[in-house]
Amino acid sequence: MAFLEINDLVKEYHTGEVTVRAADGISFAVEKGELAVVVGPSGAGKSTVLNILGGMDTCDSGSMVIDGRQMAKCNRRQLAEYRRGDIGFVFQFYNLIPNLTALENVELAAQICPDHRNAAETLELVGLGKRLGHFPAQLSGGEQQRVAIARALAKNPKLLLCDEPTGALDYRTGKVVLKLLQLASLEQGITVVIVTHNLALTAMGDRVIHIRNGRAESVERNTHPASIDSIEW
Amino acid sequence: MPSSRSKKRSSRRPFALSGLRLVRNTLPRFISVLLITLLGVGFFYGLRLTGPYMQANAENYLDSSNTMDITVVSTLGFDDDDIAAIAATEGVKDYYAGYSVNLLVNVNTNGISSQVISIDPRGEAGMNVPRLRDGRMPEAPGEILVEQSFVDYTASVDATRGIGDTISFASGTSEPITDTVGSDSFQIVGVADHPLFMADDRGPSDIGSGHNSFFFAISEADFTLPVRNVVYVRSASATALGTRFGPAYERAVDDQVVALEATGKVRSPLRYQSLYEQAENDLNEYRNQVVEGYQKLNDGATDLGSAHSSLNDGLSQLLDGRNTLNQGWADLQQARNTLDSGWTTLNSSRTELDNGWQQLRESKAKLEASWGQLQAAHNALLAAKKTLDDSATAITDGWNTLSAAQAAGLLPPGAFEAQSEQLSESEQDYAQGLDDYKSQLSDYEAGVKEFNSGKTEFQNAYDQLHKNEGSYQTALSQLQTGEANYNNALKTTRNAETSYDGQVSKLLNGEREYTQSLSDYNSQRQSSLAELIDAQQKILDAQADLANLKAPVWYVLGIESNAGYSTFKTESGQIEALAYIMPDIFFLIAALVSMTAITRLVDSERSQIGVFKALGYRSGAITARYLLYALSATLIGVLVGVLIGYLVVPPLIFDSLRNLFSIPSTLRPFSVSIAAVACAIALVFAVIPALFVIRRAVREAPAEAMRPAAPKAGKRIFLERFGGLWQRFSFLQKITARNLFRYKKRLFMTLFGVAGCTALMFTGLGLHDSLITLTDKQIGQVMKYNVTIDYRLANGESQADIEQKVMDTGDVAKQTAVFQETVRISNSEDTKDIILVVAFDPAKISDFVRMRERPTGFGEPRSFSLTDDGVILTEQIARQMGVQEGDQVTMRTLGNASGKFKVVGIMENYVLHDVFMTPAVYQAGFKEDCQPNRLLAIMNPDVQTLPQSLEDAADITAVTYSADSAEMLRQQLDVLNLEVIILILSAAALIFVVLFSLTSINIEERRRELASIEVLGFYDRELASYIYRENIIITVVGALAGLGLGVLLQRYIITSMEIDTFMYSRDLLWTSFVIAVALTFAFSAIVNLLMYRSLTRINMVESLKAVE
Repeated sequence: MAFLEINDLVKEYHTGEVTVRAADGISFAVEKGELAVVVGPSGAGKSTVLNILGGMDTCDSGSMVIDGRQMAKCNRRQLAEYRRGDIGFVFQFYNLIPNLTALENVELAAQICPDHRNAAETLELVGLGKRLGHFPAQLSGGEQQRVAIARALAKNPKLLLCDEPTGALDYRTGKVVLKLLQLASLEQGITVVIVTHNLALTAMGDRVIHIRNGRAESVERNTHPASIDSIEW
Repeated sequence: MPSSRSKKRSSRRPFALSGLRLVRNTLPRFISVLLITLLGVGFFYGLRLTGPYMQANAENYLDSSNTMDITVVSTLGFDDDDIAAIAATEGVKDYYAGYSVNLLVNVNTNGISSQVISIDPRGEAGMNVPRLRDGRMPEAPGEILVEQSFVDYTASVDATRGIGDTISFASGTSEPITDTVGSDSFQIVGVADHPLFMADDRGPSDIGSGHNSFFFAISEADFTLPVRNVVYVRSASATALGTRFGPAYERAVDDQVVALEATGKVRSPLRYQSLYEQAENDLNEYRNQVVEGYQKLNDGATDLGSAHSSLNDGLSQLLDGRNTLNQGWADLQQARNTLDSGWTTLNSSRTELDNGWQQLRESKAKLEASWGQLQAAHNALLAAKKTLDDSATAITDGWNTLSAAQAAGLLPPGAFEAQSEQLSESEQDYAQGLDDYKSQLSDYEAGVKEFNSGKTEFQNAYDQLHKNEGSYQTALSQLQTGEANYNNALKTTRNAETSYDGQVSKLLNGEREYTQSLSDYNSQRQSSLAELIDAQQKILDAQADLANLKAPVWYVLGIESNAGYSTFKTESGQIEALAYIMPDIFFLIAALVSMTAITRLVDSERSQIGVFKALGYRSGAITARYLLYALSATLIGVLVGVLIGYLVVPPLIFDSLRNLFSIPSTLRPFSVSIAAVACAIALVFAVIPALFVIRRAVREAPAEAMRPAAPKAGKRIFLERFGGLWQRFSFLQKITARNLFRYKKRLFMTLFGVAGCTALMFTGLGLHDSLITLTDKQIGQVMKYNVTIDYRLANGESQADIEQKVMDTGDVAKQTAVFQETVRISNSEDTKDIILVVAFDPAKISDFVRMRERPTGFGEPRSFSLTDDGVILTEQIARQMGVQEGDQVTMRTLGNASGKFKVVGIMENYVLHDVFMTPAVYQAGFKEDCQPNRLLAIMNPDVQTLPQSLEDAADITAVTYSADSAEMLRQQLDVLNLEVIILILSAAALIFVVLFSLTSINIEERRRELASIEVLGFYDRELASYIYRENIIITVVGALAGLGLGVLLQRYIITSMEIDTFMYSRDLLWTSFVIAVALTFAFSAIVNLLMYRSLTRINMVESLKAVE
């Protein structure tokens, strides 16, 4: 059984009388240690899937098994526990706590995890060893995103979920960030799921999932994922 | 372009709709702005309106009763000229000259000091018109109006007096009551309120307990005073103002007072002169009376002297008369004796004569008897002769017949012999008879001879007797003449004697009259002399009085000096004082919070604004959208707030005030100006800052506005500079610390809100404490006695008797005698009434009154003991008079004795003003003595009241329990307390709303941050505590700051609302601190718990979306 397996996932959003079916029976699976890239046009439902994967949202029906655990019917407490122990999240807009320094932002995440990494070391790892004491506002976008990655990695997550991690970054910085994600997958064996609308990124994925209209259109296995450095967009 | 208008209209509809949607989406915020405004405005408007509301009702009452603005009294009353002068004084619109006296009304056996006033005979058109509750106005003399509390009081002591019942009065002085009013008993015809007596205070009294308990109103005709003693005046300018409160009215009244005082100054010497002349005339009259009295006494003495000598003359005349009379009586006695012997002789000759006559009459009877016998013998002789003759004839015949018959032989044999025998016998009888006859004849002839000699003898005796009788008659007539003479003399003497007796009794009468006159004179003289001495003393007194006669002083008293008015004014002043500052702060907090809410809303709508701008909406339209939001929330809040404030607060407070004041609730005034002020303030705070924020947002380029606002940069806080301290913080504590200082505006607002509300609540509780503890501190702690007994010694009763009488009840643990009266204390500017207490056992007084300094919190307060060194003054009056320890104060008694006293102590005291002194100090100061008139007593534990019999005793004028006074005091404070409770509740409501809206704004603004943390896997509890920790710190700091603020605020308000007679306790109870903080914490906790759901149910997905 795959590390991550979702089957027939359905999610509807109700706003007044309007019902939007964001996920309309999505199914795919990702093996442990793989870097999966989820692509699709805006509104296809890729973020919805990611949110549900990350325990930030719940599905209306379908199943979601992660590391052998059925997560579809979890309650709030179990979801929080899940997010706490198993998940690392990286957002397009970083979502750092502005009032905390880079180190503190990482510590904030680390201190609630029983099996966490040293925050400073993790920041060292993402190349910010010299900027531990800086506040997010004092960092560039790329640096902030690296802090966000460090924050996610410090928790020693089983699953790293990234929502458009380079969306707000320039090309070069984006590459650095993607490199870090790829390293996490390769060197630490963390399962990484990256959601993007940038098709160029599909090259780096061990597995590429195309989502359209709330369905997984195709799931491709990429036996030779390209190095980030070779990817151009 | 014809279509442009419709285009415009249609294009605006979604815009307007989005406005409505804005309200719906931010409903909690809209409602909280509305509620905060409502609370602020309601509280502000309600309390601000209360003062004017109460005053309007009081004004209406005073005006409808045409109540005086000014009362004029004079030391010597007012004569007609005085009254005319008052009437003619500039600015006097209306006046009424009447009477006002203090009398004792008798209830059971007590005489209760009361004020009795006259009713303006003009009725409804008059002044100070009583307002009937029941019955009718007095029409005839002897009818009286009473007040409800009198009816209630009489009912409470089982002596119920109502309409139709009769009540009686006593003068309370040595003068008869009829010097004051025509009758001592009156019939109750009505129960009324009187505008001069709005409050419980009926003024001081110079009789009885020293304080009046009731008022009564009677017709003018019932008064017998020589002059009217009070004039009530309405000032034209004050009347024209149409208000009874405020500086303009006070000025108008003051002006009128000045004018009347000027009149008084003019009238005073004139009245003085007329009084002086009158007194001088009286004095001269007295003098003449004294002279006449002496004259009369002397005349009496002269008269008595002449009477005495004429009595002596009469006496010697009488003595002469007596001698003459005695002589007369002696002569008379002699004559009597002579006469008596004459009579004796005469009587014996009479007896002889009578005997002679008797014998003569006997002889004559014998003669006549013998004559009769002689005649009878003669007749018998004749008869015997005849018989003899007849018998001789018969014998002859017989014999012849017998001889013839014998001869004729006719005789039977023997017959002859028989017959011849018979005849012989008859012949013998005859011969016998003839012998008898012959002897009898000779007896007869001897008898006749004897008779004739007797007859001669008789004749001789008769002649002799007759002759004697003649001499007797002569002697008799002589004696009778003598007797007549004697009788005449006797009669004369008797007459003389009678007249003498008359003389004697006349003399005796004269003597008695004289003695009577003498004793009359003597006693008369005694009393006349006493009277004369009195009169002379009176003359001296009158002379002294005349010398002392001062020009009358007019006291022109503004309405301020009316106890009811001034009590009402201070009470409503206190209520108004409370209505300032606190509602202001309250309102300010509310306004600031609603300002924050609205500016935050606009801030959070930046991108929305950017969108509208980008869509081409004009700035004005966009501004209007948010302005309308702010306006509608604020205006609805203002309207509802004003309405609730208007409907709830003033009636509530006024109703409770009416326990103290007999003011009818007739008006429900609405103040547009206060409402306008409230509305303006609310709008200024809600709309103008919003306008600024909107303008700032609107001015931004649309693109910039649409971008999410850059999160506020984090930075190191001040605390981090203290490395050691900072290191000790746990990670989360550091975060909290940094977060707190990150949003300084919000921190400040929240701190301010919490601190303000805590301060308000603390102030409210503190005021509540001050009001609540005032009673207990004064009664029980300062005044340790729990009952006072006023008395007036009965004749022959001693102070010890009355004390014994009280001890005999067995209910009293200890007691001490004092003299108590109201005196005026004055400094250069001010004069105030205070209560003077002379302790007759100064060493013991501290058992009954705690005399010490008010504790300042530093060291033991100094205690005072009452000595002959000087007086002890209570704190508040000392402060008002600017008196320090060691200063001299001037006091004047109601009896006008005045003196200077050294203040040796200023003691803690909270209600009214007292001065304590020893009898020696009193004597030294006032140059007068005083006698105890009151006992301060402490009852045995568990004893609530003294026996009714003691209260009813004739020499006990009043028994007053401290518990009752405490109750009265409490009632008075209850009104303020009500206001304070309103304040506390409002502050509680405000603190709730403030915390709620500030917390919700906080959460709203930090959604993204919270969502980020939640995504990291924080549990709900951890997430909540992330925010709560900040809130708790803000609440704690705010509450503590609030306490500090509250202490200041409370002190300020206490001072500003403090009135003449109360010194509110400055002490703060630890409970106020605890309750204020606890309530703040409790509300904060409730708000935070209410927020828990919205805090933990933040939609991570939505919140973390890139752009809103």
